[in-house]
Amino acid sequence: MKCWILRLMLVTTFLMLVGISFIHPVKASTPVVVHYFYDESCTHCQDARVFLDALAINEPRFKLSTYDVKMAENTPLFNEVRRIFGKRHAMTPMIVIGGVMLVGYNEQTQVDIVSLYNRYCEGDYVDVVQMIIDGEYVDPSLIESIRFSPGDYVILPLIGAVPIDSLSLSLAAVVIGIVDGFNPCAMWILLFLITMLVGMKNRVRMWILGLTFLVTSAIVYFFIMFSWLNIALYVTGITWIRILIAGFALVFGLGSIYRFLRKLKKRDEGCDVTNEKQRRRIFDRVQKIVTTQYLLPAMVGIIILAVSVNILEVACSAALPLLFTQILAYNQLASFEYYLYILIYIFFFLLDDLVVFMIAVFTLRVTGISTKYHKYAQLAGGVIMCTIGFLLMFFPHIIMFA
Amino acid sequence: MKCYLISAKWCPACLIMIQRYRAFFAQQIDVDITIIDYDEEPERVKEFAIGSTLPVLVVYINHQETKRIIGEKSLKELQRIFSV
Repeated sequence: MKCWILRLMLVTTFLMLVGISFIHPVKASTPVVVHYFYDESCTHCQDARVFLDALAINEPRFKLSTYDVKMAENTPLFNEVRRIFGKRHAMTPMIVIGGVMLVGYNEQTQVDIVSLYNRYCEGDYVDVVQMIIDGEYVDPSLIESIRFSPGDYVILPLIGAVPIDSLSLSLAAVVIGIVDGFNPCAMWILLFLITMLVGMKNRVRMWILGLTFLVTSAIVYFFIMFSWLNIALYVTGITWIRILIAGFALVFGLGSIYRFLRKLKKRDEGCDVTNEKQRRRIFDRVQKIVTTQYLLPAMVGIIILAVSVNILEVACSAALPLLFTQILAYNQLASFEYYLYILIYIFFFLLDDLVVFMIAVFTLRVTGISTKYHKYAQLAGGVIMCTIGFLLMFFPHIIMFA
Repeated sequence: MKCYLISAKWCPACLIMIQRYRAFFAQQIDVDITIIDYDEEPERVKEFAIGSTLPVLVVYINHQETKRIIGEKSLKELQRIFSV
């Protein structure tokens, strides 16, 4: 019953929004061209087309230009438009009105199309796609944002106005990165390395070798996340893959929560002794590297060690970074924004390692992070995975902060 | 009182407990703690037949094992355990 009431309210709100939007007086008689890039095999494109066709019939100034991206003659324009708007990975359905690009299709897109149509009916209007077709230079200032309400921004101290969508993504990067960082999978090797370095009582060598390990780990993690992101960008439109990933997230999330509950019952919490052979092999290598007389071969050894350990351990903590790249892919950002959010994630992922390393360098004492924090990080990770899994499965548009 | 603390360099709980045990026993003059590294002295570790959780503190009084504390414990927990 409640569900029906909610739906009725949503539909009523939407119709009111549309209704109110179309009441605005028309100031000029020039058409507002809506450029619609689609793919015949894409189901969202078909839904979008029904909506756009209805608007084209009912609104005299609404002119629809369509481009099938699978047709060779439209490919250069499709690529050029994506390049100009800084969204090289954007997929269909892709709608460009004036200087605004809308990627994907859901209820929010409908509201955005209507709002943009009204905005351009009333005010200045530059058809960016037409400029690209005509071979004219498109000044970056012509690329506009869908946001037009001051409430869509938050004012942060020192930083200033930040769009709420990018804030949501940054917050996701920070929170998921920190929770992922508490995963003890890759921490043990750093602790061992630091203990060995502290024993040598040479701070310069500690700084160089410790930072080499952390920076290499960050680079490896970046490339792993970058590869996952590229895969995610190509599969975001496929519904069954989204549901499959959501299913995995729910299973892994519930697994994490179950492990947390089991640990709650456990009386003696500490470090579990596992993988003895592999650990001994790595320890022998670390010992060899740290006791190498010359710094350069030691650095090379640390780089090789960091690469191999991070690749080996990635299976242990793959779920959260995988889901984060999935969130990024759903948000259809410019290339540099993807890199930026991945870098934010990695910084916070490595933050606890950095803290442990800094304490060791300054005090020449190695300290660990209590198992209780790892335990609660496991619960937080489980809850995050379940939440993302649930949203991916039933409300994917909520994942699209932008 | 003689204590053997079995710990490992890679284990965060061990690193925390080494410092905590040192602080806890600092005021007691008749306590001697020997740290045994899990990876460096495997044969010695075997003698204590510990399970799969580290660290482990084995307490001897007059050559008799009287207590075995496994894992990470708070100072309060240690006070409670040793007051019994």
